[in-house]
Amino acid sequence: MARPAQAARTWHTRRPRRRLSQYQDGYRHAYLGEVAEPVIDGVQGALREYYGAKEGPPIASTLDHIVAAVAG
Amino acid sequence: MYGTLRGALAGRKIAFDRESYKATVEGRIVGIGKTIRIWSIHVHYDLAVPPDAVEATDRALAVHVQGCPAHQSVKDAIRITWDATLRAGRPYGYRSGGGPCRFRLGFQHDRAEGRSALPGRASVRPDGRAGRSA
Repeated sequence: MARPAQAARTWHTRRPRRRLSQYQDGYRHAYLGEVAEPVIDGVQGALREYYGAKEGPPIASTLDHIVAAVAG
Repeated sequence: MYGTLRGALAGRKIAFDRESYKATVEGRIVGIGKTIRIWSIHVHYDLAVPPDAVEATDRALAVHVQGCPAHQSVKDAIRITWDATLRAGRPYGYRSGGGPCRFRLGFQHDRAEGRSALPGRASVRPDGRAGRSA
């Protein structure tokens, strides 16, 4: 299907699938589509304080991933 | 946005320096009600191009967000801005390929506005050797 020239017109592409989300060791593991390795959402920095999370390795949060994905 | 701009530059045959091409992003997270949300995202590009490609680069910068799926997906919910440091001088070679994009993220707590505000920074580089930042 050819892509319309006008940006305002909607067109459909494949539906992104989030296969499974599960918690392991307190962090959410999201398996996306056909990718074997999960995306891990955790906490770090001030978010750890905000959520009152216990000590642990810094893991990028959901919001971290959104910010990086938009910029990337 | 970073990848879309890269594609816009390559599509225009602009011989930008792929090694120094970098984007730094700052996400501002604020408290709203009983939760937090991403309030704004600002992207800063560092880009080096040959002198004769400045005008074409300006055009690519001006239109790149229109072709960015991620920007189009969230622009109505998150205020997204960008600027660029464009260096024009010596000619740069055109090289294809490049490693996976890496980024750096970090949050600081900002109490100056009397609310939870957590600016984050990410440095997206094509060389795949970025480390963590404060």
